[in-house]
Amino acid sequence: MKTRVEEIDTNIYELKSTNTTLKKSIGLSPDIIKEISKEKEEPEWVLDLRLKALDYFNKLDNPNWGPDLSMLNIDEIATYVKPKVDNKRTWEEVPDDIKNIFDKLGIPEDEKKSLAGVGAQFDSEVVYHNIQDSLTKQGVIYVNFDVAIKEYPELIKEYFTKAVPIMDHKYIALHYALFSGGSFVYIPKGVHVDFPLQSYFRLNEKGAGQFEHTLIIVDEGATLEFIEGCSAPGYNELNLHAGCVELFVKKNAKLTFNTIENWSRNMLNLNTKKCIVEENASIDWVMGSFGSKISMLYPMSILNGENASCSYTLISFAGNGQNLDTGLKVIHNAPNTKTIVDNRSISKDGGICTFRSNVHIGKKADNSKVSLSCSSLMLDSISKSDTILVNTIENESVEFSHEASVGKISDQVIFYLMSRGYSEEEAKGLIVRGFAEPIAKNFPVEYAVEMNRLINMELEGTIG
Amino acid sequence: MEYILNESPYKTTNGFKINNIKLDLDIPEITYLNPVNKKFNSKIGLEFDKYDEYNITDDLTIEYSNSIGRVININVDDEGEYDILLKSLDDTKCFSYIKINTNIDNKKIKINVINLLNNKTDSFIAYDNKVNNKGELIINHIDLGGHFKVNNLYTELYDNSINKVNTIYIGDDNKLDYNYHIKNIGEKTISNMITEGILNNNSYKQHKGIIDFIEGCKKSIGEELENCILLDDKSISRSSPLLMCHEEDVEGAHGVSTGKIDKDKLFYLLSRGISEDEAKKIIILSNFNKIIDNINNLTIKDMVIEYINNNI
Repeated sequence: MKTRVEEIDTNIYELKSTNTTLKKSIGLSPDIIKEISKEKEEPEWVLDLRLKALDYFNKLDNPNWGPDLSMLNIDEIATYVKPKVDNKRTWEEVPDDIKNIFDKLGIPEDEKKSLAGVGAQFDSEVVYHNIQDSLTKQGVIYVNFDVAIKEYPELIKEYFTKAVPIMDHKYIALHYALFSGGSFVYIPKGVHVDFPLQSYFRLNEKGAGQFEHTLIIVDEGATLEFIEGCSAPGYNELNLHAGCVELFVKKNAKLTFNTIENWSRNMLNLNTKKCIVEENASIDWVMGSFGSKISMLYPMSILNGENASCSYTLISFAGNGQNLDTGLKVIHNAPNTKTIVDNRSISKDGGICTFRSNVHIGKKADNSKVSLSCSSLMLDSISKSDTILVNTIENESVEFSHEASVGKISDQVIFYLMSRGYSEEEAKGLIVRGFAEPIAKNFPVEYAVEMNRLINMELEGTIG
Repeated sequence: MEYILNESPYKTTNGFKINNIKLDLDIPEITYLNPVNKKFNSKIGLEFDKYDEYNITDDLTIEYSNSIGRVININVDDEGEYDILLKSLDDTKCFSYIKINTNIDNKKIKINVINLLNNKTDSFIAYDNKVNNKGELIINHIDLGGHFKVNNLYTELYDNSINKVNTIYIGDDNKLDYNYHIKNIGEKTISNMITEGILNNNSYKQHKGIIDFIEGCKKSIGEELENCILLDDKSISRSSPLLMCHEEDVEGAHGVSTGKIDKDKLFYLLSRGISEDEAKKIIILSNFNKIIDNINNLTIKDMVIEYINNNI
C-alpha cells in the first residue's frame, strides 16, 4: 500500500523566477516612502498617512511577548519590489516568467472552474485582476487596492484604517508606511456573490517584504466568500510579510474569509486582520497556517450589532524551525452575539505551535454565547504546543464554555489500524488527516485538497 | 503603596492585561520585594525579615484583631491532614501574609486552608510545593472571607507524584486573584486544578491556572476545570487557563465555564416549591460540595457550610 505522500508534487511552491524585477528599494526611510507614493501617483493624504505611520513604527517597540523578532532588521529588507508588469486583465498579457508560476499554482485554472474573480500579486504589485462581467454589472467592485485609492476615494476615505488603526502595533505601523497592492472589494446591498473571489499573494524576491492591504465591505444583506492564498519560495535571507485585512460586514450580511498560508520557512509573517460585524451579520474565518518561520496572526472580530456572530475554524501545522503563534480576539459589544471557535494545532520536529485567544464579553452583551474548543496534537517530544487563553466576562446572562486538550496519537488507535494492515507510518498519517478533517471540510473544495496536500508534505520525512 | 504580587510566568499580549494586577496594600516591615520581571515570581511572593514560623504537626487557627497584621511562614513536613483557619476576631482592617511550604517525599499530605477573614482584611497566601517519589499533595483552598485576596501556588512534581488543588471562592464586593502554576517535571505525574466560585456585588476575579508539561514528563496527566457563576451584572470574571506542553506523551485538558445559574436546574427546584433564593443557594452549594466533601474534619466542614449559607 502506498502512502499519499509520494503522490504529491512538492516543488510547485519552490518555483523561482529571475529577471522579473523592474525596481527595488531596500530599507526604510522617508525618502523611500515618498518614492513609493510618487511611483503610485497617490494623493497627498495617503503620503501623509504613510509618513505618520513611519513615525509610529520608529516610536513603537517590538512586543515583549510571543516569538523573538529581534532577528528582523528592516534596513536589510527590500521594502518595495516592482515587477516588470503593470496590472493586467487577461492572463495572456502577463509575462511568461510570472504567468508560469501562477499556472503551476493552478490559479488561472481555478479561475475558469470555480471563481468569480481573481487578483494575483507578485512581490509588491498586483499583476492581474479580473472579475466576471455579470458581477460588475450588479455593482460589485473588485480591484487592486492601489487602483481603488484613485477610483473610489470616498469609500476608501470612509473605511481605510477604520478597523485597524495605524498605531495598533509596531508592524501595522510598518504596513501603513509601506502598503502596496492588495484588493478592494465592495459588495452592494443585497447582492449575493455565488462563487468565491480569490486573491493570491506571491513573494518571489529574496530578502523582500510584502505589505498588501485588503479592504472588504459587504453591504447590507449581501454575501461573499473570499479566498486568500499566499506562498513564496525558500531563501536563506529573511523575508517579511506585514499585510493588513480590514473587513466590514454590514447589517444582515455574511462574509466567509478563507486563508491558506504557505509562506516559505524564511518568512516572518506578521499579519493583522480585523472585522467589524453589524446587526444580524456574520463573519466566518477559515484559516490554515502551514508556512513561515515565525507567524504572529490573531484575526479579530468586533461584534457591534445585535445578533452578530463570528466563527473561527483554524488549523496550524508547525514543523522544524517554525514558531507559529496564532489565535484570535473577539469583542462582544451587543446583545445576543455569538462566537464559535474550533482550533487544531499540530507540531512536529521541534516546531512550536502557540494558540492565544482573548474573548471579551462586555456589559451590553446580554445573552451572548461563546463556545471555544482547541485541540493540539504533538508528533514528537522535541516539539512544543502551548495554549494561552484569556476570557473576560462582564455580563451575568452569558453562556461561556471553553475546552482544550493536548496529547499524542493514541497507541491504541495505531495498534488498531496496524491490525487492519496499515504500517505504523500510514496509521499515523491517517490519524493526522482525521484530526484535521473537521477543519478541512470547511474549506472550499479546491482548498481542502490544497490543505491535505500541505499536510501530506509536512508529514513527509517523518511519516511515509 | 502599590505592589505586584502575582505576575504570570508566561507573557501575554499587552491587550490581555493578565500578567499582573497592582494591589494597593498597606504592608508593614517590607525589606525586599521581588523584581516584577523575575521569571517565576509566583513561586515566592514578598519576603520579610521578621515573621512567625510554624512547623505544623496539628491544625492551626490564626486570629486577627486590633488592626495588627501577621506574616507567617508555615512548613508542613509530616504526613497527615491539616486545617489552617484564618479568622478575624473583630472588624478592624488587618493584613494577612501566609506562606505555606511543603517538601514531600513519598508521603500524603492534605492541607485545608479556610479563609474566614472580615471584609476589610487583605490577604496574600502563597503555596510553594515540591512533591517527589510517589508523594501526594491535596490542597483545599476555601476562600470565603477577606477583602483583597491574592493566592499564588507553585508546585514542582517529580516521579509519580500528585498535586490536586481544589478552590472555592466567594466574591462579594472585593477583588480576587489566583495565580496557580503546576509543573509536571517527572514521569507519571498528575496535576489537577478544580475551581468553583461565585461573584456577586461588583466583585472582580482573575484566575490564572497553568498546567506546565516539561520535556521528559512522560505519561503525565494534567487537568484544569473552572466554573464561575455570575450573580450580578457588575461583577467581572477573567479566566486564563494556560496549557503549556513540551512533551509528547502526556494528556492535558482544561475547561472553563462562566455564566448564570442553570435555568433548568432552577426551574426544577422552583417547581418543587422551593423559593428562588433557596434554590440558587442549593445549586451553588451542590457545586461547592464536591470540594467541601474532601475535608474530613466535621467541625470545619460545618463551619464552611454555615458560612456559605449565611453569606450567599
